[in-house]
Amino acid sequence: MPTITKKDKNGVKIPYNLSPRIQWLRDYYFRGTERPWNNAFMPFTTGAEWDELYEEQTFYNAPETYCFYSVMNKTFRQSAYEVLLPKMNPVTGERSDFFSWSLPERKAWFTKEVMVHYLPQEILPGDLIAGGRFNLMASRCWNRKEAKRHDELLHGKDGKSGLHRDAIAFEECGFGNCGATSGHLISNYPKALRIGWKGIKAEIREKYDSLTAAQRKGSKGNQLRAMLTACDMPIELAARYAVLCRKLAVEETNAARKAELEQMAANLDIVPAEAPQNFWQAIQSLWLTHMLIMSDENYPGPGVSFGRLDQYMYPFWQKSIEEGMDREFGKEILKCFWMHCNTAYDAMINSGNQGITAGYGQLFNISGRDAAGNDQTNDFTWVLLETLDEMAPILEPKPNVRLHKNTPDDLLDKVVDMIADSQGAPFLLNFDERSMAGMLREARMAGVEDKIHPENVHEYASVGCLENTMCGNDRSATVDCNLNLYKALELALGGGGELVTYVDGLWNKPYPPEKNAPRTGDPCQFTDFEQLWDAFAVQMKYIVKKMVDLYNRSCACRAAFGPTPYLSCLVEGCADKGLDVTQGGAELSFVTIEGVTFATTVDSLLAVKYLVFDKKLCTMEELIQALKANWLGFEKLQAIAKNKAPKYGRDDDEADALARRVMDLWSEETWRYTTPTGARYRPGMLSWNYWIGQGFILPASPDGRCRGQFLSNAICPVNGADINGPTSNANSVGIALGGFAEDGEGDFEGYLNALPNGASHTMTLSPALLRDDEHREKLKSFLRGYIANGGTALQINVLDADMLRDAQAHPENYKNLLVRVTGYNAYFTSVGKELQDEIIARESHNNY
Amino acid sequence: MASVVLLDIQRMSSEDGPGLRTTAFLKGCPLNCPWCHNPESISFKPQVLWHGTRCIGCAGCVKVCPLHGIELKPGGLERSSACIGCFACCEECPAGAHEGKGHETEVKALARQLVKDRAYWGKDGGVTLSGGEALMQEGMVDLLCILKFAGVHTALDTCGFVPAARLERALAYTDLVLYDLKLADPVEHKELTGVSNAVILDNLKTVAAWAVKGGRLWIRTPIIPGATDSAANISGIAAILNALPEGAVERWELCAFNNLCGAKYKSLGLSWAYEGIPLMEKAMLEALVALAEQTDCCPNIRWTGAAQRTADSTS
Repeated sequence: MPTITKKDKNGVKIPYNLSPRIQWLRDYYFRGTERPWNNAFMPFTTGAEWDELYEEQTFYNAPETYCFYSVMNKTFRQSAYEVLLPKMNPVTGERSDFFSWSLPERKAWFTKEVMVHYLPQEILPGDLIAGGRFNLMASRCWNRKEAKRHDELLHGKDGKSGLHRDAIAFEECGFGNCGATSGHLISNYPKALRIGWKGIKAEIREKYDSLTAAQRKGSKGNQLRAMLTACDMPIELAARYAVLCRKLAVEETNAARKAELEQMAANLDIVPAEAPQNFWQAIQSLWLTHMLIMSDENYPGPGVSFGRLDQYMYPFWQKSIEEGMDREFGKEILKCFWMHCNTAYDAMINSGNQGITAGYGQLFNISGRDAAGNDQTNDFTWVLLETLDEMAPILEPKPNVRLHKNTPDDLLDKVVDMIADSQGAPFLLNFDERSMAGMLREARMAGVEDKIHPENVHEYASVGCLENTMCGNDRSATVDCNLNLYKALELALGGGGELVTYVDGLWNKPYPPEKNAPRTGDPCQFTDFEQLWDAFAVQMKYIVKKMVDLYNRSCACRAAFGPTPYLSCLVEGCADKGLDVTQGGAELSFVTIEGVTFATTVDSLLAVKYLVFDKKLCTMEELIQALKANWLGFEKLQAIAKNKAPKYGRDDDEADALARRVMDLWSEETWRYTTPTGARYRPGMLSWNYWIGQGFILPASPDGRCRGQFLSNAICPVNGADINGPTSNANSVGIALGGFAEDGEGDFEGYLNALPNGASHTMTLSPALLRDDEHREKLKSFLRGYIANGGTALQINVLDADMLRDAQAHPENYKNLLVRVTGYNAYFTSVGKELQDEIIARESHNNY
Repeated sequence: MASVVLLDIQRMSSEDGPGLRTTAFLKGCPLNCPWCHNPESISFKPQVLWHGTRCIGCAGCVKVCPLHGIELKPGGLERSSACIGCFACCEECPAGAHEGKGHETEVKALARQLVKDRAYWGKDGGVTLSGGEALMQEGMVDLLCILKFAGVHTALDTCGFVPAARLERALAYTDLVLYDLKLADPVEHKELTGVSNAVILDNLKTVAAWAVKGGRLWIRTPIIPGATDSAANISGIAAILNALPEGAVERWELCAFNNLCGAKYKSLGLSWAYEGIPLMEKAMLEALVALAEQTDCCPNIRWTGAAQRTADSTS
């Protein structure tokens, strides 16, 4: 299929093949704050004077929010609508005071009440999918005692200790950040489509009925009653929307639109209560089910992902096509769904930038292999790719294409075409074999081989950005813990102390020096690299444990005070155990520790070894002095560290062996711990934006980096260190993850992977690889090579004019940037301003 | 085992033959073309490139140069032209401002380096040996042999001015030859490149005979303003190709002049005859391709590289 590409005068892709309906909805959406309709947070309170709505813990992993907590807490509480509380328990029918119910029952009732009876139901002109507003800032529904206990956990009895202070200090002293965060999982959408919410409710009812009277009075009974109430929420909401559709149909004068509204009402009579009978109903069911999950944690759930959308939606698509649905109309339904996903961003629409901060990561996977290695691309895979291409550029939902050894050529052609037309991939690429190897290692390490095994591991999908998990039964918690690995080296070089004084971000008040880190000895007395390594290993254990201790408190607090009964209905295990998903109800419960600053740490160890022990170019004492002085006065040593010491990312066997050693050390350490709710800690590498911000906190590093310069991103080599090009970069990444087993078996088909949750890898390629069909074939070979040798996930950027202009302004960051024309290559920064301008002009017009 | 003088390895090369390739550039060339894009590849001797923007002014190099050939002056650092390429300055320099080119490399170790990207080569990628002139080094035949026996697709990028016997031995282990034909006229050839094209044309016959028996041959012609870009030269080369056995030449690439290498000449302390000459116009390149196509000398003729956008063309 030919790709039609239109670009505006700046070379930015513009959408195409949009009907007037979709064009209007899309244009309307991008009017942002000027829209009369939006999906901004609406706050609701129980009216109790102790009530709270906003949970700051959810944002402990977003340091830029630290100074807003008290404002948020107050504003939402003050502007909240008061909800009339019930006098009767909805499940038992007993007359009782709301605050005498269990917390999950209160929460389930409150959310349903607000969603069905308080939040306005609206349908935009032409929209084919019902389900508008969903961004709730709902009461936590605590009674007075619970509110007090929660406050004590966060702020201590004295108001000055507790999680709040410790979480912020942890981040401001350079360890990283952590907090029990919402979202980041794939709920069991295929089940909602298979048996509908009535079916789900019947299953839970059966479990509730089988409880003894004593159990019903206990926590299990409480949880199941809450879940029963939650099951009614999508059904009742659909009924309200059906009424609205009929009302609009009566008022509608255009016959075609009238018929659509009547059909929407008829759809809502069936779904999501029951299994959909066609594609339109399936998308309607999926959207209502999904949007309510987005709102179940007072946050348009970050990383609430769809899983393998092309696989479970295909039967509905196929059936409707066979029954005569027009393919383009099917895409029209899908495009409405696309627009709904984007309204998540309206939550904070009035706070600037149209509410768009980071992405919400409503990810879906397409393609991928089965257990035997066969490709699973189907017609609906193509429909999703076409829709994405026609709608782009747009933020949500986010596609993640699964590639593997047997990915067909035509899919790879389409992937390459889309990379070419978007000046960078409009999706992430996920690599099945390396990813599945990680998932199987996870199964072994956590002892859940009955749930993840070679026959079902191909059913994995990605959450948020690229975090690999199982679908429908996996509380994946993929971004809750973000650990700066470099902190361990800082402590080793400080003999257990720190190299700099850390200060409070708000008042610039110094923190007391680190007291609890193990005393690993004066590094100036070390006579070989292994002694430093041993000290580093001890400190690594210390920082992992310190993070675990902090996160465990946050996790326990959420388990006690933040039930999510609706979400729990769609995560397998919760109903069986009678436990909320936040309490360890899921069949699989994990918390990922995302390792941050990996390459900076590896290169720093390599630099210490090179400078102090191998080449003896300085003493340890001098090196530590240089780091404390932020390299000021040590410029020659710094230049040697940067330019002469070995680096990870060059396919240099010795350097990569050390990278592997660091990987094994820290990743194995994470498996030693379990949260109070029974979730196993596991390793991953995704650095979100921490590698930028933390660069200002952490001290200078032995690899030549100054304090204030960026750290390395996820599993990527340090910026500019990959002087041997993309293939060597990818080879190093694959080796750091484990490479291949000598016995040929490894974790999966010979592959080894220390990071089950995935490793974020970003690479920039030259547009020369996209200029004609012959070169696009070359890019395809590169991707096939990456499947064999590389990591778990790849974002491809294409070198563009902006980057070259940045290179012109900041040559120090780009000294290894090669520009290549036939038979010739040169460092961009060495060619002089005039020629640089010429190259930029050429790149801007893609006229290679 | 033999060793060779290596200039560079370019991994993930998209411009040196089919597929993605790893290209080894060897140092030293028997020709001396004034337009050369890789001037550091001409001399067989080790050389030092000087990247002034990287210098941090530590003057370490001044102390270690055995010839006392480096001076730190108010305007910056000055390197003597008497450099013997001992690389002492390169080893000393903390910033990589002195970059040594032309390291002796053992052939087996080089082969191990070259196959590291095997996974990325796909159906038709592999290793390309280029230069300078790869075949001026005896060790290249050994290298080709090692690669061929390891199942690697091998390409040889040659200027053709090489010992015939060595070329014949090399062809036994070669899948594709990228053969440079710069100028058809022997007098002009001698004038501009320093040698006559007689040897080159003789060797071309050998390669063409090999190509019709299962080898693959691509011709490459650098299109240099005022030197090789005349209609007469293109027609002349076409005539040479037409005299070869039917089907010998698979493809003919007209490689557009590129003006980015001025900086490299500066790094070597040399001046460049083509400094300031603009890129060629796209329309002119297209006209040369059209002219070549009329001669029916080869089924696949194309221009490659960068060109100036002509006023009326938009992209």
